[in-house]
Amino acid sequence: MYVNKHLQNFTNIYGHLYRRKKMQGNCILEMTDIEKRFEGTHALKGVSAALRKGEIHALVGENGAGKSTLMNIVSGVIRPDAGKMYMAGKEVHFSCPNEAQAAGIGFVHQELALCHDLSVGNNIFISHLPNKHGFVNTEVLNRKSREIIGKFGKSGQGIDPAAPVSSLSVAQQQIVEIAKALSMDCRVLIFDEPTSSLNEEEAAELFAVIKKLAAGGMAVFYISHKMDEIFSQCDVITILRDGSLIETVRVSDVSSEYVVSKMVGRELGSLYPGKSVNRGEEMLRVEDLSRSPKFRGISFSTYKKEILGLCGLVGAGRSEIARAVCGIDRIDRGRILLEGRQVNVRSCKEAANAGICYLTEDRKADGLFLDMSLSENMIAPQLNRFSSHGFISGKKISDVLMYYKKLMRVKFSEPQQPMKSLSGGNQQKLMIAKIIAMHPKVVFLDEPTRGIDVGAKAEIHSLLRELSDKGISVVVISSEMPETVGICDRVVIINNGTKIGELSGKDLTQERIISKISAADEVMVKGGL
Amino acid sequence: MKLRKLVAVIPALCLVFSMVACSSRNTAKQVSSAESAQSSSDHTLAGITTASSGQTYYMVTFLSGYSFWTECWRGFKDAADLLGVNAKYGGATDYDVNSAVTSLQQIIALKPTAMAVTCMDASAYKEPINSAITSGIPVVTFDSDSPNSNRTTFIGTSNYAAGVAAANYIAKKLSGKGRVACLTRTGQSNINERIQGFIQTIAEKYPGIKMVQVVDAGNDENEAATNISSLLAKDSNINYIFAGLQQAVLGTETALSESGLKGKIKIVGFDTDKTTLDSIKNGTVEATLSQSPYAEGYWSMIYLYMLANQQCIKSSDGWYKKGFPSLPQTCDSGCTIVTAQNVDLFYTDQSK
Amino acid sequence: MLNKNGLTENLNLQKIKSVKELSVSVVLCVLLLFASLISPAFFSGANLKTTAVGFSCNGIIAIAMTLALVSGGFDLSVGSILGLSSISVVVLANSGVPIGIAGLFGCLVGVLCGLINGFLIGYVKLNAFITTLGMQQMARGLIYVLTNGGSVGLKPEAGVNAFRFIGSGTVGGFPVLVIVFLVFSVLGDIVVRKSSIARNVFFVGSNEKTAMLSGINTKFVKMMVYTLTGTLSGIAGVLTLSRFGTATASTGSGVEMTVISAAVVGGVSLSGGKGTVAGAIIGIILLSIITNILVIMNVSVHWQNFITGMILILAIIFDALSNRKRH
Repeated sequence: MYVNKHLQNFTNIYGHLYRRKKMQGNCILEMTDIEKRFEGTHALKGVSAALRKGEIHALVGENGAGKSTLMNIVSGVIRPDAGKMYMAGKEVHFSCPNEAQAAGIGFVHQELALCHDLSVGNNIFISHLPNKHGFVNTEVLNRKSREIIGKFGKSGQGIDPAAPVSSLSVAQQQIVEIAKALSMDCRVLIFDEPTSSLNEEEAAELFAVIKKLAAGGMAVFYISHKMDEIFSQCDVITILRDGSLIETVRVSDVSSEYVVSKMVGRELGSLYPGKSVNRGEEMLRVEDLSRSPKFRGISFSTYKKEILGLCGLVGAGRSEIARAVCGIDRIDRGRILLEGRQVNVRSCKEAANAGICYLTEDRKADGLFLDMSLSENMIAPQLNRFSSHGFISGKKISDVLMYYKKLMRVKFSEPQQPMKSLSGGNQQKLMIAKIIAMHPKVVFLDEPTRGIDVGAKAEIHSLLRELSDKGISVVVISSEMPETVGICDRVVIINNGTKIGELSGKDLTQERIISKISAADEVMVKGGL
Repeated sequence: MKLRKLVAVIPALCLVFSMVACSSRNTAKQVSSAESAQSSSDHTLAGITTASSGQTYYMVTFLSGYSFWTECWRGFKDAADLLGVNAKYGGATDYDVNSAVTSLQQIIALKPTAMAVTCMDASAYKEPINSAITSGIPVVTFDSDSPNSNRTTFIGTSNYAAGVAAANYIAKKLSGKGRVACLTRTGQSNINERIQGFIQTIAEKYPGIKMVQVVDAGNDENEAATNISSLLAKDSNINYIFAGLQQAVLGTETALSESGLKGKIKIVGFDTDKTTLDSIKNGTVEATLSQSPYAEGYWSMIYLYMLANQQCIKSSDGWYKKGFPSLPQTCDSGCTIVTAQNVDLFYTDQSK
Repeated sequence: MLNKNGLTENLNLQKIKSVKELSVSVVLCVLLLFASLISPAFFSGANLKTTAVGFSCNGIIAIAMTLALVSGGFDLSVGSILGLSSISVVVLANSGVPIGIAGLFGCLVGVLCGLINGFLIGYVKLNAFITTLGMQQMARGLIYVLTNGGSVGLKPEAGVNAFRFIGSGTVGGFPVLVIVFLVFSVLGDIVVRKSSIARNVFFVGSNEKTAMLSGINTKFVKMMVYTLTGTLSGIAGVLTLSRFGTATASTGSGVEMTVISAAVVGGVSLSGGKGTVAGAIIGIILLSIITNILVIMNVSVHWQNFITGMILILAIIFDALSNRKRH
């Protein structure tokens, strides 16, 4: 307690000095007392922050804390009700994204904002196409795009400026999104959860790029939930909670537990619940599953009371395997046995009826009905259960919805409000609730905590452990190594569409996983692929 | 939420209420005027027309903007003015059986004194016409009939007969030997009847004349021109083209002039639109058929008036219930071939 | 499979870029082959000439319709605007206005109708289907009023002959109208493919939210798209009048369905963000040829609609399959 108080004094003093220093013109962007209300919600209550040149400034807070709102104000998407913004000392007002961009503010969105039918080059230069007398200069466009993509090193390889964005993987699309921001010669760059679809390697390259930009004077706002990233990459952290500014601290002065506790307003226990002690009978067995060219010869089993992880690099084929087992994609070869009996899953409905369910990684695209109400989303996969005599029963739906609202601490006011009015994290929670409400035997969760803050992540992790203990076979696909290692009892490692190994118990560490993958890659390289 | 549902119900209730109120009001008004005319014992023209002055007669068409009906309406209105009654024009603006029948039923619901109806589809119109008659509204049909219905009489010329007349005219001009083609409009039964009359007469009466092909006139003159041109590209050895409807005439004219066949192939058109008449005057079109739209409208009105004011005809008591033996079952308004000789007679007062 | 410039040399990628037009061009070639086998009349000068004249005005409208579809909407009022423009010119010219000015006014009628559509769809954010349907009905109603349900011819006065040359004249045997169409098409294709302004329409159609966040004025873009469809329809109306010399109550009827079907067959996506003018034009030619072949083959008029519709569906299935394969 004394240490805490000491730290607090220190940061207060530092904050004061910090503020004085910024007045010396090193500050590129400053916001004072920003207020914003939406219908009934007080999203920002007098938030102030400052960003210096060359600084990587993290913005943290739970869902609904106001981070996105604040950044939307900075990037000109919405206007504040009160408060001022200054750039390089001069007051600025942005009435549209265009003005913010012109002032040098770039934004890399969490939900990728790309035009999928157009080429990579077109997307990068969307707001400033290089043209000659009004006609797009495709040569210059592609050349400049290649230059910017080249800055990403290995991750940028394989991205052809002329290829349509729809042909790229999610990770590559994110690179394009970042390239778009970089192409505008911005002075301030805002990143909103940029590594959510990147693996370790790609994330490391991204950080290298960011560090280089910061070294060159770029000011970076970095919104993230990943404490380890923040503590390894960022210089300063601004903590928001429920629309208020809690504190601005230097990374070197605090610990991640401190930041997390300030974020949630209470002491948080361990992020990951304990591991399972002994596993039950075999639930699902997959034998020699193949679907060229995505994966071949995949065999593994899941057990009751054990959380299995499918891990590997982004693009290794884990999602494809899960989708095939759940009947969404077809299988070329292979058998699936559930509780010892073979099942034929030709469609996802058959799979769901058998008890095998899938939770998608991209909720916006294929996980939710954004324009429909929360109730309608909840009942969509099992209308029969929620109707009596052919008519949908409002009471049954609301009972189930309230149960999960309490269980997963979802924030919403009315079951009839549209799904899109919820924050990303709450949407994710309800999507998980929808699947769990189907009482499956086996559930494949693809990136279950993507876009969710630390507090909610912990809740979901313990929920998954509870489900597993109750006898549901839980399979988790996650690109966050720490999460995989923390929540899973055993992992199956997939690389380039083949299974290269399994790890469990004490062997289950990040280092072992990574070394297994690199070993497999080396074999491939040596084999001349 | 409950409040929202309630708010939605209120306007619906108002609508229903006003519909009920209005219709009962209308019924009352119409019935009283018809009754008053019937009960008058004065059999002089002055007496009858005084009693009937509040009556409203409806002319109901389909594709109601079509210029042919405008002429019919002119005749109808002139007769109504003569008799001192109100005349109204109604009908669906588009070419669709459902909306035509719906607008017919809506007009029936207004309880007019009597109705002159042209039938887009004979069987679809049968029920509405019959129900109008049972509710006391006399109905005559004009131009396109619904012969199985209980309509009192049909004033018009059969489209089939018009096609026959065209065939006879062309055959005479060709002295029984030659090659012809024609344009029709798929899905429009009155046009198809004309073409049927034309084709069958040629086939049965004039073995020396070959019917080369029937072509679709399409949605507008561009499609008509395109289709006829395609035919002419394959086979331009044709003497006469019968354009079974007014809009096809323009397309055919243009197709001929674009293929350089103007003058080599003659056109017989249909209806007396001003541009067609002008084309006859300047020789681009040789002849057209007139179905006397004015007469159809005029005589429809006269018939209806007689039916609605039964005391006009003293032939026998209760002659209305006895099937009005004094009125002919059909009335042929005639079909004339219009050529450069008599074209001036067919221009109407509408100057554009 | 990257060369040193970082570009994929994989030829498949190149082909993929143009496969949308490739498949519909294949269908066109098959049809042409079929037509030539059916009758020597098909490839006769007279037939090709009249077929080309027949689809020229639709082709001009298809240029703008491509952009409307790319923007994620469509315009159902083009046929009625065409007709309204025709009759407007006639009414003005017949009351003494010089034909050149009357013609210009006809084009302006198109611009005005397009602006109304564009404003309602772009700024008031009304649904494109209902808005253009409403405009279609309104314009057609005005046409009925002005033509009195029939048709009105251009009075033969000074200048009318020169005016009519555009639509019905030939230069060295080649119809002037087709030349006008070709000029419009080539320009249109280049502009839509390469200009920055047109590129914005693609962005808006592909992902409107992204376009907005990227600073594109989506409202203005949409308004301009519909103003363009209106303008080109107005121009097509003046050209149609130049060809026929008369405006009728049904002039332009049904054009919108023909043009939209042609564009979709030609690879313009109904959901927006994708398509070329060249594809739409190939679609127009395809549909014209189908009707042409059916008449030459003396197929009963009552079967023609069925066959045209069936071939349309086949073309779209073929197109969809070849796209699915590459994904």
